[in-house]
Amino acid sequence: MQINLKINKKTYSVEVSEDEPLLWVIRDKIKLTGTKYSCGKGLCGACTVLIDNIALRSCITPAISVQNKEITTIEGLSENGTHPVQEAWKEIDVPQCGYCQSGQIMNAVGLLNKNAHPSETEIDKAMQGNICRCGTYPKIKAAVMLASEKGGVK
Amino acid sequence: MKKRYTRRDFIKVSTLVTGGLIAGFHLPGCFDETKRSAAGNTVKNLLNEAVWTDVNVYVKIAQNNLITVIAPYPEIGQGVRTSLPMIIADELDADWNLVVVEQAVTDKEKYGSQFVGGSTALKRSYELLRKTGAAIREMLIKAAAETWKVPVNECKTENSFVIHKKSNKKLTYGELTEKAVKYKPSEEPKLKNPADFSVTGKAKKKVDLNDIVTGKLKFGLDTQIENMVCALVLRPPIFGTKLKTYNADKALAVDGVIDVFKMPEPTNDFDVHRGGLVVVAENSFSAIKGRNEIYVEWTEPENNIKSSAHLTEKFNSNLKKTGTVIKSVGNFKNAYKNSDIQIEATYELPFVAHTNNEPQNTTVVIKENSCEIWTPTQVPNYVRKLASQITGYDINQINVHVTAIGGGFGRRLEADYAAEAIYIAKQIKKPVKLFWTREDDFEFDFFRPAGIHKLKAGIKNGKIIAWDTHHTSTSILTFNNTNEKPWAYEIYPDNYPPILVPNLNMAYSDTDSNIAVASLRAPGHNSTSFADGSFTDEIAHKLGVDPIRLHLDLIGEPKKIPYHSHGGPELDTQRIKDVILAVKEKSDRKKDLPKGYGQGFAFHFTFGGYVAVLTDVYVSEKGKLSVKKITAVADIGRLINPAGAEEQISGGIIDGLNITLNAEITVKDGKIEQQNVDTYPMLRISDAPEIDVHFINTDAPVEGVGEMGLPPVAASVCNAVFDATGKRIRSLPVRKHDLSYS
Ligand code: FES
Ligand code: FES
Repeated sequence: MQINLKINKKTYSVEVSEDEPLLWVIRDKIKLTGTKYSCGKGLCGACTVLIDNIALRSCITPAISVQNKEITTIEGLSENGTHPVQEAWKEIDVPQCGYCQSGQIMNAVGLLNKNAHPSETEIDKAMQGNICRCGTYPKIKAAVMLASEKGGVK
Repeated sequence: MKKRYTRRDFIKVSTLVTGGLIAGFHLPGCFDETKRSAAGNTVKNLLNEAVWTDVNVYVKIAQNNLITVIAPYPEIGQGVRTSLPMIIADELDADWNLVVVEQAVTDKEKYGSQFVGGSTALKRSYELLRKTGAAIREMLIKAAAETWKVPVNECKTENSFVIHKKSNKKLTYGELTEKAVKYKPSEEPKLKNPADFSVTGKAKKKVDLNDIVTGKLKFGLDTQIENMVCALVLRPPIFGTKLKTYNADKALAVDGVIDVFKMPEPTNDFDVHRGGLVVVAENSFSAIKGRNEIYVEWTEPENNIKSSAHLTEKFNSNLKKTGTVIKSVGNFKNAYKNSDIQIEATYELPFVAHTNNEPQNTTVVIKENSCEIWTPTQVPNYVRKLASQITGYDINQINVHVTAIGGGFGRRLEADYAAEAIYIAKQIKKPVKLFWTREDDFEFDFFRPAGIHKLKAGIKNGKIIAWDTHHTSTSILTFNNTNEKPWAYEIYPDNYPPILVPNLNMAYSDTDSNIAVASLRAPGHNSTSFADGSFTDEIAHKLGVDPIRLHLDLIGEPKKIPYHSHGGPELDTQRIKDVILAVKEKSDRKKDLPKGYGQGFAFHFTFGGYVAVLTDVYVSEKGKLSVKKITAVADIGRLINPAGAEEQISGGIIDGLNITLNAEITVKDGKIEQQNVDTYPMLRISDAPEIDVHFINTDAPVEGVGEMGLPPVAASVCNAVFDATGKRIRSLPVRKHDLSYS
């Protein structure tokens, strides 16, 4: 079926099947590849995007369920990496291989949207679903805290 | 499958392929868009106006003083796209802010073997890269001296400028390059005194940082080619099985599915894929749906491992034999018989998966005169060779583009997925992206071998006088059909601490298995370190001495011992002693901790790096373990990028912790049981302890850094658990054990 998706403030008209996850529509059809595939089952967070400012796993979100909603991918956070969370990520130099980081950043933005000043335990709880195989967890935590200090919501 | 990364690099600076002015098009390299020149111009703007001159295969300089440095090896998160260019930039005296990094083409004639594995990238390229930078610097100075008609020794360099010391005249490298490339580079240029290093030794951020946080960095899976189709393979569930019959009618009825066909059966030496069926579709999701609809039957394999218990039985029966002796010093039997105290223990390790965060994939376009491949690989030249064999094209017609890579960990030393993609492209004659699902990635991984270590020690007058190790595992080299030394990737005969024991016996038994195995971060060491590190702790407790004291006693008067495996040629026990003493000092070493709190120590020598760790844990009465803090002291010689080194040791520790606490692949009904991270738990953010990393002896020669942090973790955690609860863990992962106490 033909649906309209509003991604990063642009509207795209795409042909999808009923069960087609948003992840594959974003990656294969809209060709925004910053959103990553890793587990495909909602278990790792690599595919996290914002739906109306809430962090969601795009691999288990049917595309047809998010018509008429504001979808934001990593490419839509800012043009050149100037969103406060991205800035914090750069200041701390978080990534190793980088593969999980779009999802980590989007999830962190989702957290700070809800809770501008999370405690360490709240960060742990909110970021628990995002696996970093390279083990950048200590730096992720530091970057979320830094973003929160600097006012991570935008 | 053959071992293939033994080739050494014999490239000389003077013979590096050189160039001249590159007309027109230049691929943009990687840079931070916020970086600026001293005059305030952004690198982005400068790039747009750059007119490049090739100096040699490693360096290009633009008229506006931008410098492109080539990153010769694949980046798997270990930081070489940053650290290796730093080495050249330093000797070149380049302004790091104006350095743009570009990934090398795959060509061993130009760059030597470009594999990344065994923590060797830094070590094996360090000298050549330094000389490359220094030789170009000398050429630029010559060009300036000639321009000014002054002697060469009156000129110096600084931040991409040549300066005439007396007159303070300045020319940029960009202004001098065209003239400079006419000189022949010197084979033995004068290298900097380490005290003058201006780029290396200083913490630098990743060159890809901006691209990562904006989602622009292109991993293999992100490759997009016009008219490309997507493919998945339905593979035989286990090595040794074959396709019996199948029906693809339902699959072909799925929207977007284009074709289903048979992969060729692996027959040749270079057939590193596993056969099975291919589904080709318009997009990834259709391929996934289509594959689910295929009906298939496979043949039964012969001699397969039926279950994990079956494998353990095989291990145990092998351990009853004597095994192949791989090291014998003094007379173990007599010494053991004559000792006051005899200790014996066995340590068991399961298969472990690599779980690269980016599943395997490769994109291939076969054209009339060339074959283009985009792949996340640790062995680009091996992929190139495979492609030439499979397509029949000359090696020079094959272009392997190394993409960004979502984790290596040794998995991408295998090229099975690249081979699949090349076969499929050859068959369908269309651009194709072959990808694996997470489930494929688990089921068709080449696991870290499972095995058991059986250890014995004899103590006399408080000293370890006899040590016996009998190890059995599912050997990587046997699986690869390289049978001469099946133990060579499993256990190292010169490892510390056994090597210091005067009566030593070490034996290995190969346990036959059809489960695919290969190297995983710190191969061999990620297993032996658990056994040796735990056993030493057991001995100390039996003797009632502090484990660190026991190590220091064993070391005694420090000395250098020949070390014959990778990481040699010697093992320096002074360096062991130094990291042990330093970790003792850096952590706050506590005595008489309350019940539930514990500290554990371990040391391991891995591929030339010396790492000692001290782990703090807390175990609740109900048996919930929290690893609180891990303090590590590493001696890996000179640090190129201290920030990168720190994160590699820290990342290795987290990886080690995951292997210790969580990781286990099991076999049931002849198949791999785990399919995704719900049944294969992975370390999460709340499980990550505070990690405190220190480096010592940073004037020593450069070693690698990617693997060294991992090995000592398992023993240190289990030793800490023992300290906390009195429970000794002799098999991994820890999560299988009941740690409760009252
Ligand atoms: S890919 Fe969506 S949660 Fe893992
Ligand atoms: S940086 Fe590699 S998976 Fe997180």
